Amino acid sequence: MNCDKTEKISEMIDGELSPEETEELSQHIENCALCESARNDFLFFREQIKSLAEVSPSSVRQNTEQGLWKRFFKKRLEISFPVPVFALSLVIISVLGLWAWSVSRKDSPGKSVTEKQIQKNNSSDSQNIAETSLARFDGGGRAEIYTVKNQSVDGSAKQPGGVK
Amino acid sequence: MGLNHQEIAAIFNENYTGLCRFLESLLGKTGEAQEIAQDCFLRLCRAGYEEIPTAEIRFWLFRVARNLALDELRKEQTRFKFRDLTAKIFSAKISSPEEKLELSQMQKEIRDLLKFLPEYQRSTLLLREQEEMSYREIALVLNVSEAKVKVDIFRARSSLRDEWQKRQKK
Repeated sequence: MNCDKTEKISEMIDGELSPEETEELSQHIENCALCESARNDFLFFREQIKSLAEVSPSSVRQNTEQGLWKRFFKKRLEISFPVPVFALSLVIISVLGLWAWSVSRKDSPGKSVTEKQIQKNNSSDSQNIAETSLARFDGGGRAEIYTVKNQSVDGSAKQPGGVK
Repeated sequence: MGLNHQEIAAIFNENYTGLCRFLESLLGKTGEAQEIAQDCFLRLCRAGYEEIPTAEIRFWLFRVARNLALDELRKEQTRFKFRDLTAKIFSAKISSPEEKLELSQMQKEIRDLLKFLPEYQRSTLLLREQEEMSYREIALVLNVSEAKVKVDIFRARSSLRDEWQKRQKK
């Protein structure tokens, strides 16, 4: 059972009332057994709650220093790249790499694709060079420049000068 | 402007013990309190000290601590259900390390009484009694109005009182 001013007592012990209100309530408490009992009980529970969980500073320090760094790096790993995702990524990359390698092996047993292309280019280029020679010396030592029609072996037009 | 190493260490020294104390009383056990308190500081590192005004860092820490404790309490409810079910099936007593923690009789009773309160009343009362925060500061931490803080504290105290008297009569 409470008095109608009991709620104000809760505010008073928390220092949330003005000085005038505090003074007025203090005088009321002197004449009200219910409010006096409530104030005493509220202060009792305050002391008991404060005494709970008295954490020893040395144990806190020790646990913290060991715990904080461990948790910091663990958390960073978990956030940046969870282990199962990492393992799965490795597996996928390995499988893709093996597949790509096996495909490239199927296309050109013996010579690589690049080597074949270079050989083909070289044979057509030597043909071009012979046809596009720009300077010839005729009998009197005069240099005559002949513009030669640039035709490749297969008849398609190519740039003069060729390759190599 | 960011905080330097000394300022960060100062924040830690000022608040860590209080956080642990608050969490232990809120959770009713010691096991997870320090882990959650450490989590709060890790989150502060990630959030960036520059983002939070220096004067509000303390309230930010307690707010995060309370939210993490709520998550832990929800998980615990699930664990307890599973634990009870398992105990029934296997007819074995499963005890937690927290049950083995020795406390004085009075402290045990107070912890029991606190558990009896709804979580929001418990949080409010603990911030007031242990951390000596004003109603305005508690309202900042819990993201509620001062009027609600005032009412919750009064109701928490009244409930503790009523329950205490009931147990004394038994």
